[in-house]
Amino acid sequence: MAAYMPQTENPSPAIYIPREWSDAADSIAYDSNTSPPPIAFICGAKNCGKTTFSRHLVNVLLQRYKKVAYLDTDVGQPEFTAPGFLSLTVVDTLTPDLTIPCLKTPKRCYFFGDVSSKRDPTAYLKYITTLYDYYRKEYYMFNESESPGRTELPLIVNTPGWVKGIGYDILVDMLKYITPTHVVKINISFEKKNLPAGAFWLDNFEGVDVNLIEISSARQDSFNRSVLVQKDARLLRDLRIMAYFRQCFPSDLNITIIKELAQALAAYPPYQVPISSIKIRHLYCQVPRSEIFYSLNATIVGLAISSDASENLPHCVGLGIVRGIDTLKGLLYVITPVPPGILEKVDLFLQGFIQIPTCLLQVQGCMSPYMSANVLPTS
Amino acid sequence: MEPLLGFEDEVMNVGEDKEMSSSSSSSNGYKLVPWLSWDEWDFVRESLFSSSSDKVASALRRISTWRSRGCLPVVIDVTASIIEIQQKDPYYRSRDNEYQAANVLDSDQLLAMLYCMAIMRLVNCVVEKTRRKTEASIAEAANAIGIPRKLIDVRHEGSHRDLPALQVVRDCSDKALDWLQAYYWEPQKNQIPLQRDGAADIRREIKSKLQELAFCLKMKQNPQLGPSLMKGKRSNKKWTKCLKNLVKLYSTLSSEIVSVLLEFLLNAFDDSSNLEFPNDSHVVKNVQTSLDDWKPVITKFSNKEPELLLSLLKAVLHMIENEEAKKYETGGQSLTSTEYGMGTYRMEHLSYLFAWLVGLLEGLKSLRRTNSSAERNISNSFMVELLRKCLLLSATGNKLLVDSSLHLAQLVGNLSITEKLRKLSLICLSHLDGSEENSSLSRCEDMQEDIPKAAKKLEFVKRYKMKRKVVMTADGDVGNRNRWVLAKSWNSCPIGMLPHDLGSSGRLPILDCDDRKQSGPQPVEKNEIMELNQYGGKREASCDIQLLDNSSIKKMKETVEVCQLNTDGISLFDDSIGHLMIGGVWKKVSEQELETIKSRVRILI
Repeated sequence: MAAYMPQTENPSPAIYIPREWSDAADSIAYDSNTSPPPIAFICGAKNCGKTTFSRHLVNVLLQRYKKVAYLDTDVGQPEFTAPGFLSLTVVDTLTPDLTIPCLKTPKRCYFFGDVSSKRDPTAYLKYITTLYDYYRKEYYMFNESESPGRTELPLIVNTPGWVKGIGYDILVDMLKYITPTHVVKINISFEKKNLPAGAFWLDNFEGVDVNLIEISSARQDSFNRSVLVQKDARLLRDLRIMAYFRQCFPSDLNITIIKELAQALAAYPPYQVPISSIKIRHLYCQVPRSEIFYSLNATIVGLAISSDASENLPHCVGLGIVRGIDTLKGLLYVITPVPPGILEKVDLFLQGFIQIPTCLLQVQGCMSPYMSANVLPTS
Repeated sequence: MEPLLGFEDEVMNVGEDKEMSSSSSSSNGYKLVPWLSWDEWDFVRESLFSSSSDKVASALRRISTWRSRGCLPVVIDVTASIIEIQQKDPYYRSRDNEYQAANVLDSDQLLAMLYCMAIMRLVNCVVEKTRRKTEASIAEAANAIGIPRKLIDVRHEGSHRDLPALQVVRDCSDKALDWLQAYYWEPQKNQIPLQRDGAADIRREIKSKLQELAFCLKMKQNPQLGPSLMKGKRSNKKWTKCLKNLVKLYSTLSSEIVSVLLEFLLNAFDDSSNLEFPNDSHVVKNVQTSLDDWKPVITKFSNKEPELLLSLLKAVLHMIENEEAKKYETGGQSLTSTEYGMGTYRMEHLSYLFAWLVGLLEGLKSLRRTNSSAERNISNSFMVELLRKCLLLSATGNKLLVDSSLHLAQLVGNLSITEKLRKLSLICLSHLDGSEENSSLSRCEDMQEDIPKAAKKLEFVKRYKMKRKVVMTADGDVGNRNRWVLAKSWNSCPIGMLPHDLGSSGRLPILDCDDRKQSGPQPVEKNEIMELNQYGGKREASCDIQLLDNSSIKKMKETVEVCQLNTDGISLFDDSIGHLMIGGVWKKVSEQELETIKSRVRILI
């Protein structure tokens, strides 16, 4: 982590948008032509405020454009989906409170299967470039004669906070492919943790027209050092997964604490689907054929439609928890908030390394067998 | 679909909840593991260190599956890597004559690299979790937990200098395995609770607890029997504490508790039958008093755990069934007269017990009027199942069972069934009174007249099922197009398990999958099939259409002809649905034909 004043703040501090930030957002929204709309790329170190800035930018852009497209490439803490997804979402409502994200249904998403792009950089880039191509095709640069009535949307690309190593290389590749009109680089006071100055992704001979906006992180202490918000990433991911599965139940059901959600998940009737109609694939491991149920039981899978694949990448519609497998009846029991109409098309389960939050497996009197006591502590 | 992340605000003190912040453990000591049970872990441990390469291969396969779940402890990972490399090393494999050339690596350089990497991972990863970064170097921390010095040296050499020689690293790998056994595998095995011989301990514990509870309650009822020191309040506290312990045990060990309780209840009969039994009413009174000892226990327990009584009833019916089956299996004449007498008395005891339990259930039901509707649905469907079973068993003319089934029907609340049963029991009664003589001729006559009664019951059951089937096919037509269907009835159970008929404890799933032949599921079904043979129409307590087809087909497979399915590929159950093996050839069979075959089999008995 950078050298900041370690803060143990509560999860929802008051948001402070400095003047610098609002100026930057206004310049992106208003200083450019309406067509083609701006493509803004936001990068910077971990926890420097990229997501907060992007939310603010969404709000500002929505004042000028009716809808905004959002390409989320942070697979560990995505904005509108559960962790593990790379998605393109179209936003048309203002975010009222910049601290609380909300879940939306993306126009297209892919299940990456892990919370860090390091697991497979090539696949990660492939998904992102495919999503960007989709955006270009659907929402950008139309010929008026060919496709009347379709509006162009601006795009905001959010990134994870990589500044060196594999993450940096991925960032550069992304920038080269997407060629945004505006790049917003958020710097923090600890220089070593910043991305290189200037248009670091461009080779020298490229004179592409790009606006590089460098701003500093929002808060600074009396010594002008950046104050960053400490976040427990794992906790946030678990909360997001729980919020995602909270959608399985009707919203008037009184579930406000985690224990109630866990109990509801154990008691609610799941969907059942014949094993023979589902293909199961692990994205990163070779699971032996005979062991496939041992690997699948009580895990989170990405629900995908194999027939809908573009460039061999199946489209994903959501997450599901495989809560039981009955080999005698040949049924899989799955809990998922995806509506039944879309669910009917799902025929592929993608396994990854997204874990079920352990608090959902621990229910009084209904403890999952995978939560074991008597485990030797090795630390 | 746009809810806010409500948890962040309303959740109970996320910040204070320390259990959330730690990676995969919680404050009560539970940790996420990739294995379904400690038996699985133990199986892998034994196979991994065995000398048979097949067993080792199966253990390695299972460990790679565990890896895919993402929470594999690093010590297991490292052990598996080293053993996998050894399996590819001709030095270790030349001992057994399998796999001569195919699976081994010849290149010494490659083998040395592999071993070296495994040892480096061992030292780094295992040590990583035990030290704080700033305190000690890896070598020091490794020493602290007892890793052999040689391993630490090899790690250093391999990462900074030339690769050590193959023999050196081979030697190290053996040392590493020994150390891993002593550091992790043995201590973890010793820490697993409930070993196999622990089952007897559990029973003893449950027995003592139940006896304690019975004693306390008896004291409460008759305070003058006990010592005068036991005052009212203290005795209250004692039995409530007792009860609380039992209820806690019940949530995980329900079947054990049920069987132990049943044992006690049956012992009550045995005790009283040791007295002379010419006078029936005398016996009945004795039995009544000894059973009464257990009445408060069961009623109080059932108040906390309503499913206890239902489980007991199910268990008693099961025993009655077995008694019947035994009688028919061995043939009434071949038994000696005493054995036969015992069998009959046992039947009587069981039927009496059943009637008594139903009486308790009625008493309980009248007290509790505030069930939630879901609970009532579940227990109602279960009672309907019990009723069905009871009717099937009472076809032998067992008066007590017929009466009990009448009571059960009243409890279920289905008026039409109650009426029919009342008429049936009248017929039965008038019939039984006439058949007290022990002549075989009259027995034959009884059987002949029993058969139409049984046929009527069969008709009734068939009609009932037909009605349900019609309801199901009505939405089954639409349902056939849907692969994703909401489960029709679901009992709460933990994630990872399958639901039981009763209770929320769930049962462990069978996850073995044989993709070459269908020999996998069959061993489990054999028990089902054996019982099916003995008693024609017995089936699992689910009226699911799919299960209907499957189970009757399995039954048929066993009785008509046994033949192995030769399916290639992974399709598990597709081919068998709707087909029967008749005369050596798989034929597609319709529902009607299936029904006729089934009823034919039943009437033969």
